[in-house]
Amino acid sequence: MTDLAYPVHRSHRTAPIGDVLRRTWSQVEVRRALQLLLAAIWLIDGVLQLQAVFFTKSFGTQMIAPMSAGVPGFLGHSITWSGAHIASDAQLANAVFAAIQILLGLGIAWRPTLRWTLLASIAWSIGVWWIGEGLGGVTNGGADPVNGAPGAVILYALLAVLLWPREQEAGSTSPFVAAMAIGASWARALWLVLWGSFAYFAVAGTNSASQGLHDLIAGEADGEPGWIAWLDRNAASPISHDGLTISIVLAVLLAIVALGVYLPARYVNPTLVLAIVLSLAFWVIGENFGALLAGGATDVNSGPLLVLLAVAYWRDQRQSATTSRSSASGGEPTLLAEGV
Amino acid sequence: MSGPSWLADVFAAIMLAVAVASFGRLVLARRWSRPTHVDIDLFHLVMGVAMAGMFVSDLNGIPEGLWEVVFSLGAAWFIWRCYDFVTRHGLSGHDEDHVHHVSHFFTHVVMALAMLDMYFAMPAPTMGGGMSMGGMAMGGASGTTADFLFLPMLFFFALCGSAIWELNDLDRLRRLGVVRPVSAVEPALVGVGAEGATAIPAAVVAAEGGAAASPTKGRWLAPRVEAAAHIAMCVAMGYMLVLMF
Repeated sequence: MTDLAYPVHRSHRTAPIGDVLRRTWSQVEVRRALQLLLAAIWLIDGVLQLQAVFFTKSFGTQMIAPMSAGVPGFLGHSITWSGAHIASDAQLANAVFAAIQILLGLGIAWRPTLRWTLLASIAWSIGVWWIGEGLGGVTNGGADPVNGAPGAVILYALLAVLLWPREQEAGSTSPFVAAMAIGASWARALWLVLWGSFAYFAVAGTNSASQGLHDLIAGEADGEPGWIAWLDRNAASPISHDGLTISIVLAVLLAIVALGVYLPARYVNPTLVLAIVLSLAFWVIGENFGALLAGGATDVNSGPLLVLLAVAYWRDQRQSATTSRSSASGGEPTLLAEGV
Repeated sequence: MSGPSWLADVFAAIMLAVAVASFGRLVLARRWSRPTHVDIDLFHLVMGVAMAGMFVSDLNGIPEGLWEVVFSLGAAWFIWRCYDFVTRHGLSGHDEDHVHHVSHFFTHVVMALAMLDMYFAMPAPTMGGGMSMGGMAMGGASGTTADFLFLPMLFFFALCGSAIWELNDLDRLRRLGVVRPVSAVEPALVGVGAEGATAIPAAVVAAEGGAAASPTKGRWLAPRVEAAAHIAMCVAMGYMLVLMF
């Protein structure tokens, strides 16, 4: 066996994995980890796009074209036109779509192509959000954050912006990873717009009807494996006729998350934990894990992406403490430094 | 539900290329006394052939049931490799000249189990028959069958993650490829028969000033080729798993 440079010596034995998790990760390392997770999700999407159903006419006629329903004229026409063209040569169109998404994943993971691929991913995401998701139901009142609105794909673009590999000046640090690319103020504003829109959509239109949330969740059970359908039914059952109350509570929680990034540093992470819990709840109950097991899913939906976003806003308390000590010794006041 | 046959042909061709490349690595590593992971190259060779046979069953000349035995043994081997690695280096351990971490061996466990899962999931008539993947009844699970798809979904996520991890690691692998040559007096550490050597990894020897026996001897044999094979295999297997959804 020439398994040779499989080293026999034990001098390099290292600490258990717990030490790795406890060690201090630099912001650049965290950003790279998030980029890789984003890359993995793109790759997953690309491979999902290779499912047989997308190579048929129905991809254009039954999946793309219906997105034009209820959206404004120009937008609707562009979606219908795209659906027809995709249907006319679904094999070629879908092969190109899948290849692009696989290449986006691989390109983000490979360092030399990172910037170009992130840039391309922004353009692609916006195109898919428009054509493939009809702007996520934002324009026709169909958006509900519980089932992934306003569309997972726009979150890819947002992540690409926030995880842009901008070099930092020597010695300077950002309060959180998402601020490295565009600054803390813009990063917070984007978070506020995203989660604020979730809060609005939670009570908008039929989403706050007494049976609205119940019907949405119960309707997700169709076509799902038994255990997911069971989850949906049991999640929907207790909230029957309480849609308005639940929607208001949900909107308040989402608003807390939206404003959370403007709170003093020590209160930010608890609101991010709330964001992660809500994201995972939406992903499991409202999105059924992106409906991956029902067949025909094109992406993992918004849950995992929202978790990545929350991590990008996570405050490193040790760093915050360092900043506090710095200000106590005559440096810039902490609150100002943190932009609160 | 099944994928288009031309796509199965493309993936089969890629898998055969992976198998040929892995075979080439095994031959060249022996001929040039270059270090490599024989078990991983061998596994890539076997998997390349097996997966090509799954995509285009005309390419599957192995008797029914044999692949299940092969991949059961493969899974058992890499589980042992994981255990062995962890006992030597810890869960997060690595050595400077070590190409892989424990996660790489674990990924091969996942690959072997995913292959077993797919073989057991496929109806018998499609195994070794004359149908290509275009007709392979592998997907579209529904009802109670769909209840068992959580595992393939986890395999799928793990393989996509592994492909990305490997790609991110290419720079490190490139550096391994240009590591300084080892001392002429230390070939056993990296050549045939190194098992049981007490030793110092080749790169450490080199770093400590070992004289060069040849410009290439002691360097890992094209680690990026192995990485590319791994990535291709992860994507191809991910596609096969997705057809089960």
